[in-house]
Amino acid sequence: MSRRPAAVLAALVLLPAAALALLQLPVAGRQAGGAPDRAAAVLYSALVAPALIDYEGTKLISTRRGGRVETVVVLEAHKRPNQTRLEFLSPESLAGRLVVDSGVEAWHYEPSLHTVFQGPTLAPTGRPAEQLRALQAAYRLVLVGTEEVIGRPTFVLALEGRSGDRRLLWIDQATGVPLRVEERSGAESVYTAYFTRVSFSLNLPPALFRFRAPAGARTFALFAAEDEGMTLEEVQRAVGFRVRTPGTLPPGVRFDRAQTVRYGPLVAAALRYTDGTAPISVFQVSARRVDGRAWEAVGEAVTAGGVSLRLVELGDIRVLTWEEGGLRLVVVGARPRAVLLALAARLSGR
Amino acid sequence: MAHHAERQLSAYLDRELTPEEEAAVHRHLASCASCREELSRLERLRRLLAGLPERPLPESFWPDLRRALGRRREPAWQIWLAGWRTRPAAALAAAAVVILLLLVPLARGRIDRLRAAEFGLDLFVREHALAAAADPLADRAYLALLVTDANLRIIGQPRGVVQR
Repeated sequence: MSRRPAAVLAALVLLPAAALALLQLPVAGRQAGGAPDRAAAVLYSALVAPALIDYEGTKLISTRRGGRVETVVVLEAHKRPNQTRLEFLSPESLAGRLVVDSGVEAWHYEPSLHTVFQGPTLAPTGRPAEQLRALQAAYRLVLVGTEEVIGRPTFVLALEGRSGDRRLLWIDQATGVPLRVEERSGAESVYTAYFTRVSFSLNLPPALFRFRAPAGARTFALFAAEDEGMTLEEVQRAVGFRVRTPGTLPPGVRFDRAQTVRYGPLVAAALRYTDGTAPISVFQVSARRVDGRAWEAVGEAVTAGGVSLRLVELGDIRVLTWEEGGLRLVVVGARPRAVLLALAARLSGR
Repeated sequence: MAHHAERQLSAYLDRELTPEEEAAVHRHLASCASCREELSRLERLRRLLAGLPERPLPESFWPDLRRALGRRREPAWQIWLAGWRTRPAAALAAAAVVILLLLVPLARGRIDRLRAAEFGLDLFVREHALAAAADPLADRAYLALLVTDANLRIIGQPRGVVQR
């Protein structure tokens, strides 16, 4: 546990206090009855936890990749408010991989190639109260009950989406940290992550979250996404073609922002849509600049709006890709297949 | 004072120095035997040259010179080409280098396009995973796994065990 027990105690007092305070706030989308408010309070404790507490533990992630289930074991350390260190232990192809995220940028070291990648941070942005409102708008919150995970009492919280998707969180009652997460699409579990061991602290050493490139390692800086908040016209000028937009959007989905993604000769338009929390990305690139045959070989053949598409499942993330009217279109999102296919159908023929 | 170079002594002899330089050389010569010896050698050489008979130019010299000056010069490229004609092996080697320099960007462009097709999907998965970090409930460990796998495929070194 911590070398600063007083600080830990303070956090343990603050978390329930924050949750109780929330119950007094007028929260948009609050539902009638006491249970939803309690569910919101539990979810709020999970949203504020990263800013209040450090932890380190062993996490097991089980997900589908290309038609097979892959189990990954990773040592995860978090330092408040937004620093992360990940050391992958297994499978063998991942052993030794290191990711250090400072909250500003992330470093990835691949030992087998003695190579370092520098890229954008994976730290979430936004304030917990806003995040809670967005989640309440996108999901129905249900406090299922309580369970023990690795000997610690947790609240079991379900977030039920409009499209049959369901997130289950086992939230540590003392700290608010989710100890287990499951993502389900219909009755099918597409993603599970849980700690097999965890310890909480307020004082993980800062040096653990500082990346030092090993001597002699080659480094790639990968910052492909360009300015956020471009207008559609600016994106069209940058990519040199008319960017397709859907006439209507699936229920609960709204346009978020547009930008370009550039890597070498490839310049793509990136449109972001959101249900308030989870993004859906639509990428469009001139098919003339790429060899379409290589794209066709991946995934499962599906159709939407009379167009043949390829679907690739990456755990809870799904990828749809097809070529139409001289463009290669790619839709990516952690949303149910039906939602992504509906968006693809609305983009087709536009 | 340092010893005077031959050119400065020659200029002294020809009275081409400024008054200050001339005075400095004069003072130095008064105390330097080797420079005096060098000056004396130059004087002897000057006298010898002055004693040589002057030979008249051939009568055709000036008409020949005027003709040569009035003749139109060949274009530079003809002179350059004539140089290569006399050295065919060097010409072939230079042509090969030029062709290679022209072909490399074309080949690279083709390779880049093929690579773009290969990593296209992975680049987009990577960029989506980075955008998905905005979801406060997203698992950063899993997103990092997606990003780092995509990084490897983008540089053409996919992770070994799992193949899509």
